[in-house]
Amino acid sequence: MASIPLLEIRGLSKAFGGAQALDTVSLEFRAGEIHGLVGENGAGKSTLIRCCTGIVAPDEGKFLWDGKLVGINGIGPARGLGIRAVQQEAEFFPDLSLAENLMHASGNSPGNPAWLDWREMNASGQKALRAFGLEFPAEASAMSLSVGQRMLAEIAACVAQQSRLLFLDEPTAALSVRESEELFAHLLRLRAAGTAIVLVSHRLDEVLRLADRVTVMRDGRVAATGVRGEFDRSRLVREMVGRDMGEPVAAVRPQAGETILRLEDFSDAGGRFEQVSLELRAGEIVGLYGLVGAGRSDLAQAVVGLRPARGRRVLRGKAFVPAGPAEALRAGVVLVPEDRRSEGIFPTHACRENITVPWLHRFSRAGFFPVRRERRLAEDIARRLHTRYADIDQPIVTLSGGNQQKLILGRWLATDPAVLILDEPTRGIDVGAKAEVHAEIRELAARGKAVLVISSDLSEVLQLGDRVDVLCSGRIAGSFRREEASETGVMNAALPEAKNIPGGGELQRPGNKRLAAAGRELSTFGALILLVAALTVLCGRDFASVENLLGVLAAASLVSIAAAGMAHVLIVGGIDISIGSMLGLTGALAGTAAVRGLSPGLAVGLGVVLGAALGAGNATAAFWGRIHPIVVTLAGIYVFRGLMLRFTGGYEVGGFSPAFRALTEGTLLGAPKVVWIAALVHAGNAWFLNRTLWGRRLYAVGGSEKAAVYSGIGLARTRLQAFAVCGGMVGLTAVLWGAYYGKIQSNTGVGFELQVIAAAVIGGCAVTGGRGRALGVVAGSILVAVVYNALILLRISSYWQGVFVGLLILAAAALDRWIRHRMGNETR
Amino acid sequence: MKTRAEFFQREAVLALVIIAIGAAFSLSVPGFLDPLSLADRSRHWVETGLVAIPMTFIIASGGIDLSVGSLLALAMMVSGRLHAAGWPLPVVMAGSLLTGWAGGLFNAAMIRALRLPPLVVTLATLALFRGLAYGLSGAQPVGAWPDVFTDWGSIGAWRISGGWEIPWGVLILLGAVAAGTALFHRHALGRRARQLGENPTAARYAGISAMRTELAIYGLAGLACGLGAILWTARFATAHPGAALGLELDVIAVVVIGGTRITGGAGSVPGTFLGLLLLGLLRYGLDVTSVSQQDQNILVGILLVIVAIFNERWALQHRRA
Repeated sequence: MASIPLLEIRGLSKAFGGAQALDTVSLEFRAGEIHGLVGENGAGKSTLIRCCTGIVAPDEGKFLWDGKLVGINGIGPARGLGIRAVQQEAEFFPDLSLAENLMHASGNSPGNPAWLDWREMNASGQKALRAFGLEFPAEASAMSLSVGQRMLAEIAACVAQQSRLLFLDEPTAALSVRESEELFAHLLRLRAAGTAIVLVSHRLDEVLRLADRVTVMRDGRVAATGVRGEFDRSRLVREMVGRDMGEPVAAVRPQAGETILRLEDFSDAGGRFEQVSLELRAGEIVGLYGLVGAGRSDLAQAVVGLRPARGRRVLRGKAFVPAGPAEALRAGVVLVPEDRRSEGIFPTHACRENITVPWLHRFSRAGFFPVRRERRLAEDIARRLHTRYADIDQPIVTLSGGNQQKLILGRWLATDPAVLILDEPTRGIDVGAKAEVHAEIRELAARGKAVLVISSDLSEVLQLGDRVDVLCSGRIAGSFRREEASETGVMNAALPEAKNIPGGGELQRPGNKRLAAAGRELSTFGALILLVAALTVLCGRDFASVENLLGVLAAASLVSIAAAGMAHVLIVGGIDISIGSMLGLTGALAGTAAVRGLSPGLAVGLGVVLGAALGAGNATAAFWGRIHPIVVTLAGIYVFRGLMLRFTGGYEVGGFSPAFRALTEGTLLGAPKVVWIAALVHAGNAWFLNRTLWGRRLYAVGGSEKAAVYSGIGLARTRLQAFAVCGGMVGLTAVLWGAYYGKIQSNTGVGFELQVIAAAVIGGCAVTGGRGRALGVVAGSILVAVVYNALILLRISSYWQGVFVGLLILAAAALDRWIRHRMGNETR
Repeated sequence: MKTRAEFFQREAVLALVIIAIGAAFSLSVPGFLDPLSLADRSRHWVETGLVAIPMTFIIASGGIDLSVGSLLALAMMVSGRLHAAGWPLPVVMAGSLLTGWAGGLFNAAMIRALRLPPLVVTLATLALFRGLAYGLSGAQPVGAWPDVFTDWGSIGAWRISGGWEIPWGVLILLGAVAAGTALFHRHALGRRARQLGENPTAARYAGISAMRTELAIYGLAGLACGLGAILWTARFATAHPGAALGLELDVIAVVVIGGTRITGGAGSVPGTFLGLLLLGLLRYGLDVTSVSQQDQNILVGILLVIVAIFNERWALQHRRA
């Protein structure tokens, strides 16, 4: 075995806020070895992986790669070395196919980025999957796979890229026994081929079976490291939990009173936990321990009605089925959520306001509350919990994590609940604050509350719990009374063993969801056909004549070119409502240049460049300024229109040369020229969106921002590109508009954005980003044009047009929502 | 207290800017600050101000309403049709208020029921309400309003003494500002709206109903549109389906200048009122120095973007409440 380790880590430290996640960790990973990494939740394993893969920058420490000092400052450099990681929750682009997901994850395209070869992409994706023994089709959408299947696919992708150091964070958590066994066989083969593998797992049997070397982490440090022979299960457990208890266990506990809340055969509708039975009694603290993925938080959320569940909940002898936290609160059941930052606090709001949220009405009259009284009540609570703060009106985010947690606890205590469910009450707070929070929890129980403390911190559960229940893979795997509970006993119950793991059956074959995904476009075409048929019956030859239909197509053409651009912006998750004024401005500028003698071809070029510049300007202001594009583009409506009027003085731009008018005038093979131009644009757009890496990245960024970041896709660059392309298309539309209508008037393009957005949304572009197709935009544009034509033929006053545009946008967005909902349910 | 000092900082800066604008224009335009002409001018800003108050709640809750101009026109044309059909004035005015309220509730219901971004819903209803206003009226303005109604809007005022008078519309606006301030800063509704905008997940865990809050605030915006429609009709002695076109720009600009974060979580009704004074004075000054409406819009648009970016960066730096 090589004497120089592949990656040597020296003195790595990383702190988040006050919590030290990694504390001078030094480790070696060697080529051709499987390195098992174990430790409790929060021991620092995930942070270690994120530092080594460039996702997080360490505060201190050095990396030696093949004995040479290297900097890993970003995902790119880590990849360059051949370091890959499969995260605990695989990050995927749900709407894209597996093969494409693999392409984005790899960061490069097969062959030419300007002409993606889908067959090759699928073939190489399929090859990567098959090399890993996975038989599902590479064209299947990622959404249709189970979590375990995605995990395997992602590992397959990393392997296919010949990584030299591979981190796997809990890869078997979501796998069946058979899938796990297949994975292990591959890992052994990779090891033989010289890859260094770091395997993070709670399943100690796996680690002891596969690893050549084992490291135990505890509280951000390396607790023990050595070759496998030095460890057995009991030593691993000992090293994982072997900590100084720090705080004495309260000796005398009052007798538990009557049962307040009982769960019987309580199961999650989504399968996160099953047949859980629990009993919470007055004056008693129940500790619920479980590892990641055991279903702890899901259970807590289900109890207060945040997740659908089956089974019985009985509160003081009556059935308890709350629709949500508000109703649970009224019944006296309160959940203090796990993630303080995202689920607990209102960060920039005053401490006072954070404390009084759920009981504001107690001191209000008809909704009005006296602030002085609120301040006094809030201060009482903050003081009772020994919170350190300068001013009750300071933003809560300026307090330390421990003090924030005390105030959040105080928020709920003040509601005087009968049952308190505390999910990870001391996560990320320092030791001193932790002891104070614990004291408060005991005090609560002493006052007769029923308390459930959910924690992945073993010592916490043991210190607090009068009883300890252990959740493992969604089931209660053990119940201990205080005197029976030992660290090793509880840990043993929490660690899954092969026989406890549910599933273990056949490898699920994903259904083909392509038809379902295409359903959105099909529905547009379907609606179009129905509409055309209805109009043919109603209006006869008024509608169904070649002349009228060609006229409709010509009208659709101009809208469709701008809508093709809007599709880019919508796919990437933005919106640009300034395009009507943008059309007026670019039309006036390029049109005037044409009148002054610029050749028609150059005028088109000028329009495109001007539009692209305006679009890029919108994007820059929005994303640099960190404000939603709606504000910038709302201002753009008035700024661009005002600039246009300044430039033209309110006069129309017209009197174009015949050569300029010839851009769109006349027909080619019987169809108006604009129709041909639009067809050309849409062919180009289809190529760009489907066949280029830059096009596909729009879908990636719009589909999942987080996954895009992990894939190293530049968010700002991609968004800028989308807005610039949209602007360019609008500029093109503007010049063609001038040529087609012969003039650009001061109000040209007013309200155009509505038609364009309607066409794009009807054509299947999701307003929330990630979806939309070139062909759908064409269908949407034609549909809008047909509706306008129908209004005229049916002699409905044009004044009603706005009503139809508005209803079309709402209906299309609602339809989209509905189809998504259906698909989401099918997947589950 | 630090945060309160910070809170008043913004208002103080706004007040200084307003004084500076007033001083600058009165130097170049003699008689610019003449109380009589200012009082007269203030009529023009009543509708914008009325709608900007509930818009403060909406933007603070992380939402937006682009449909306000169209909804005002729709309420105006519904009451116009009622008037033309011979209904008495109280019924006509109730019709305007109810139409506005219903429109606002429709916006909120669509946002919740379809889980759509407020921006998309209100962009659609921007077209929808305007289309209804034109369609219902056949694009015909409704005139022939009784003198008692139009006098009240155009010349009617509370005469204090001498030449001093305050238009009724302005009195209504001042009342609405006071009520809005109390609702936003001293009532659960304003608190809930801000909390929803600051952290919707935490709001859900804390038992705040997003639907109820949104129905209330978008409904209030609709009511303000209905009230604005009445005042507008009285002022111009005509109901016109093209009225209040582009109202949303000034309303949103006023709210953002007043210090409400466009991403939600923070806002101030007194700030919105100062924003109204600032924008009103600026537009008045530009009017009397013969700057065209379009050129003014360029300035207002740029101002909106700059202040919105400033608010966002300021808020991130200072984390103010």
